[in-house]
Amino acid sequence: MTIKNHSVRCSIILCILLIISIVLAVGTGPVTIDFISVWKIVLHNISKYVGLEHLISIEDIKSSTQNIVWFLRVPRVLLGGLVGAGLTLSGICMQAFTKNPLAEPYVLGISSGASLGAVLAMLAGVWLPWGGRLTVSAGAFAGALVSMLFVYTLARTGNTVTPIRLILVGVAVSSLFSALTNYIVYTAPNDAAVREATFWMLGGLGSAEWEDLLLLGIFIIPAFLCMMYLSKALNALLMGEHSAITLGVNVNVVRRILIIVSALLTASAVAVSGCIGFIGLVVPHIVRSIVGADHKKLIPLSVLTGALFMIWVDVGARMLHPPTEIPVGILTAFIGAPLFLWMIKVRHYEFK
Amino acid sequence: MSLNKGDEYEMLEIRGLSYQARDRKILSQIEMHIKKKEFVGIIGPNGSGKSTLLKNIYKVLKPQQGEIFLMGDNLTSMSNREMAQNLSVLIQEQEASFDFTVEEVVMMGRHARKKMMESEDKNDKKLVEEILKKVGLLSIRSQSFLTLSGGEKQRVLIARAFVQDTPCLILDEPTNHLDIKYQLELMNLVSDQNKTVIAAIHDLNIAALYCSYIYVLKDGQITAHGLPHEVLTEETIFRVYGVRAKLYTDETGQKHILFQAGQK
Repeated sequence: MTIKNHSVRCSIILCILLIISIVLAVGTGPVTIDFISVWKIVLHNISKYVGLEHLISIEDIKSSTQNIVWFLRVPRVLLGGLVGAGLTLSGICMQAFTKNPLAEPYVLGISSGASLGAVLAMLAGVWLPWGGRLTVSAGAFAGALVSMLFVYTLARTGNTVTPIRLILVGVAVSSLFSALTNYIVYTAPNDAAVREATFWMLGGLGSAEWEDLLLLGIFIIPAFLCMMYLSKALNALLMGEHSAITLGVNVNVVRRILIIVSALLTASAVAVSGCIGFIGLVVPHIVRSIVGADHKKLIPLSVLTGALFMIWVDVGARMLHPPTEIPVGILTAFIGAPLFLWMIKVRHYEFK
Repeated sequence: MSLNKGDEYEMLEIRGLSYQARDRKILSQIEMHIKKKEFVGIIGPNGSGKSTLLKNIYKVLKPQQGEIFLMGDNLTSMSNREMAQNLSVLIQEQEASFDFTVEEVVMMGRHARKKMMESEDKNDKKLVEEILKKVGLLSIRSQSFLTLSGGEKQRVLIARAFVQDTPCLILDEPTNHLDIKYQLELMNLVSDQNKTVIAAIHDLNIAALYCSYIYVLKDGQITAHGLPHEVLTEETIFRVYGVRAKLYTDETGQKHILFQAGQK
């Protein structure tokens, strides 16, 4: 009850926690870096942009440490936060669209489309000398959008897309694209590329670079504002399509916006980090069980929680078997799947 | 936004409305003229098209032929938002599986009156509180909607419709699943509102008690309409429902319709 009535205060607390977590997570890894050095390096690099770098000296810190912090850890942690936030927001979109708290960002067949695109790009990258990492991201992004368009077009009858058709078409298209991906991987001539493709599909933040942040940031901020703008319409939509119409919501337009927002968010998240599951499902659910279903509270709190969750799971991925990294998608599934089962068992949700 | 709000205009006018789903004709050539403040009942057997007719009025279905005017304006050219400012609806659909409180659900009734980002102000909160009190839900305002009984849910939804503060109210088979106490309670609440009411009603006695005008639907056509005592006759009931009925007026002057079991 108290959390419910103080969502603004909670958002501020989560923001503070997020900042602290970012600094702590940057310091954690196979090479431990102390708190003060992390702050110094981060502030030094930021102050470069305003020409004040002389105020914070980092000459006493080894340049390898500087590089680890600024070129590996910081982008990785920030990317983790953005991916967590993006997948959570995308999950909320799909849950509102399907009126089902158990829907996830990959309902539109996006993960399989992205995998297909990425694998094609990866194998093509071997054959083409100018291919590279960027091609994989671009391939995944393109694949995700193609699958989403495919699902949307097939699920559409006249001017409307009903949730149940979307889910069914999504399942079918997913299987088709997965089959294609598996076929390509199975017949691929290059073992190394296949291993890379498999690892990529499991999801991970290890390849984070500063440019990746841009791709996700471009989508997340407008998507967040758009969802906040629609929050009351989304509430009405959860009461049922007919209810929403009689309350004055233009259901078709809102649904179309939800699909577009969700598709762009998921596609960009998948493009930079592979298919990380369960975040978009579990995080909104937990937040909902605390603050209720009102989107005005749910969206900001979930987005912050999603970012926090992802950052710490990624720390786990780095620290569980150092120096080997575990794909973060495996860990989110380890945590998310039991929670998901518990949700079905205890909360008695049904598919309607 | 309404052009004609003078008293001489009708609340709702339906001209030549036809609707068909796939190849089955559900409504044909419906004509209705509903004046302000009337309590209009739509009766008829299952499958006669009552609900389809109402869904055409509240824009869930789109008429294939004919026109509907709400306070003088053509409904097809109205946005859902404009419609929701003039027309509230109590529907059967209760598919919510998300956790809203009673108060949150009722507050949704203000949606069409607010700009997208505008949050509820003091007046909205006051109105919600007033109406919660009126329907007797004030004590459970912060309870979860999902945990309520069927009767309580229906009361929350009627409160939401009241909060919409519209001159016209549609009830799509409102008393289904309600026991007799709740049925009467609901109908009393609605008729106290001083609104134009259009209600699909199964129970002929309820229709006789509350309606000021009745339309009878059979096979998608209006087969009779008029004042309750003109329409609710033994002949019409037999013709429409195939059931023999006896009319009886008690000492208070209240009409009762009694049905005979087990015959044609």
